[in-house]
Amino acid sequence: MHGSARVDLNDLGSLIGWLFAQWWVWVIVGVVVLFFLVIWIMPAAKVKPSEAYSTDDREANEIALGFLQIVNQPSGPWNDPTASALSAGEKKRLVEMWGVATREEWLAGIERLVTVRRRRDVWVTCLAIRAELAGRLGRVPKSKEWTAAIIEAGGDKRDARSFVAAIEGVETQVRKLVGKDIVTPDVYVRTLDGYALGQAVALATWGVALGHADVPEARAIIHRINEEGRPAFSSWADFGLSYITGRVMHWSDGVIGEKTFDKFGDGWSEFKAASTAKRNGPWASLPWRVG
Amino acid sequence: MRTLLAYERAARIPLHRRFFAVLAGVLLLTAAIVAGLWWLGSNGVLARVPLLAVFGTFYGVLGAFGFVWYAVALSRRARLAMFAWANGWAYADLLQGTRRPGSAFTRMRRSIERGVIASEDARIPFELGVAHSVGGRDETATVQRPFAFIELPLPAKVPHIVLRNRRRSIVPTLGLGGARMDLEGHFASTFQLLVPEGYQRDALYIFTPDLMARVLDLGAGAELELVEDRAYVYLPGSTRFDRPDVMQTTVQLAEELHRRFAARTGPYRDESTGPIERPEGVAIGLGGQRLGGQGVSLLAVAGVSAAVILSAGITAFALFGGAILRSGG
Repeated sequence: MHGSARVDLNDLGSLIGWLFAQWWVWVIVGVVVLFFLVIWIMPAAKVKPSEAYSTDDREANEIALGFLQIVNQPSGPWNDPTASALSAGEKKRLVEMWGVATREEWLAGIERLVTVRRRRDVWVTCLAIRAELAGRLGRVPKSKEWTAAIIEAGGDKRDARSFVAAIEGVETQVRKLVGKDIVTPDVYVRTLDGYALGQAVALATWGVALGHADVPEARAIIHRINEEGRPAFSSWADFGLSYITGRVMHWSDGVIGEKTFDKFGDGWSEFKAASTAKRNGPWASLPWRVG
Repeated sequence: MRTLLAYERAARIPLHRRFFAVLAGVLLLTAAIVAGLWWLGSNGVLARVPLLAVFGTFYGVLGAFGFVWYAVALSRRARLAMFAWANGWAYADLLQGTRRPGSAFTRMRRSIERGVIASEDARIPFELGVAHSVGGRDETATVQRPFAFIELPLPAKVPHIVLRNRRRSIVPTLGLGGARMDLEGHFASTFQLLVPEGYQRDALYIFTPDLMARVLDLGAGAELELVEDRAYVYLPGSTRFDRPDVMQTTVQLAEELHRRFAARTGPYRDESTGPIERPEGVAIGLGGQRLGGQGVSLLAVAGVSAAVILSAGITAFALFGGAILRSGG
């Protein structure tokens, strides 16, 4: 009689007992366990800089502001101002996507990102209210306190609630995924400008790849972006949180659903890599305050 | 037909997507259906299953109507494109994700714009087109009828103001917050202003009687919105921008409204708010930036009401119908 014929399919205990007696079941279980063990033990990939450019001076510090966008594209090592990894097809797509076929359009694109910064007045005002309230309270305001302050300033109750929930929701997700040791509880979103500023730095390097400028000019533009943008932030974590939240809010128009963060917040893994010393992350070694 | 062919050449539409390629495909499909029906008829299958003939004819007629619809819309957009290019304006047949700040645009989950013309002429800077609400792979479309729009830039940011049409709703304004201001004189029968609380005086400063008179010239089928540094004129979705007379009126209107709005909004400053409600770099106080809430479509309200009434009727009939029928019989 065949072995499986002794199994009573109506009896779960009999079925489990039979499965335990099979050698191939143990092989499958072993392979699965081994797979997860290898993934768990294997160290996360390190951030690789370009050996042709510095990683610890002022220039490296300034280009590091565009880390998330440069790595997310990806257009090459984070410290490479020439975006050397862009293929011909990728360059063509960038030109179409950003409308930067000419040098003038490229410069105008950077100018728009640095000055207009994808801002929406309602969001800017609500975040400014939060920062003002935090300054008064000496801590991060709670949802109710922030919402009440927005309503008091003349904001609509329903819109205020959904905006507060959206920002706090993204913050929670980023803190959970990147780590509370990096995005500490006292770090909160005060501006969404990080996204536009990070893009501006990346766009400056892409301009070199597209032949609109040489490296010294791109460096000068990146220097200006840092001078104008950096004072609004207090740390790399503050900037990174602003970048991810800004990206999610911009592409979702502030309507955060179940899948919104998965769709637009994927930069969290680069944020984590950039901020981890073991992974050679530049944000972990470079100081936030430049010179 | 000549305009259509010239448009396809100028727009460099690939051969397989051109009108005659689509026409050839439709004719081939029609021929295949007719041949199939003839073959089924000669084998006696149609006599046994006549429903096949009904299906074949139904889908044939549906396809013919669809093709005529596509051809008419394409020829109109081709005329519009040629007109735009002749005047040095930019033309886009289809735009997605334009992120216009108008409330009619922001309430739609996903929208597409067809036949969009953009003029960068400093005297008449405008964009116009027809917006449609569409669904996505994992989301349904927002209930919203298509509407035509003219977008005009303003020299300064202004409070959010909507000029609602009482006689004919183009875009949903039901559910928008703020104060309702009834206008004076004969404008009151056609229009009503929706203004953020505390900005009523600012609205009257911008919407002067002569400007209102010009808006009234548009006829009863228009609505207006000022938001951030943009003005929107909303017109019915059926507006034929491809017609020379309509386009001429539209361009004249765009030029005049741009001039009048520039004169009224250029010197405008929101002086009613402090630094908390209006931080650095923001021109309008929080209360004036947006009317609260989102517009609710009358179509959606009518649909939901009809469904509720219908289900209530069915329930009532299920409960008491038998007794009523018995007492009647």
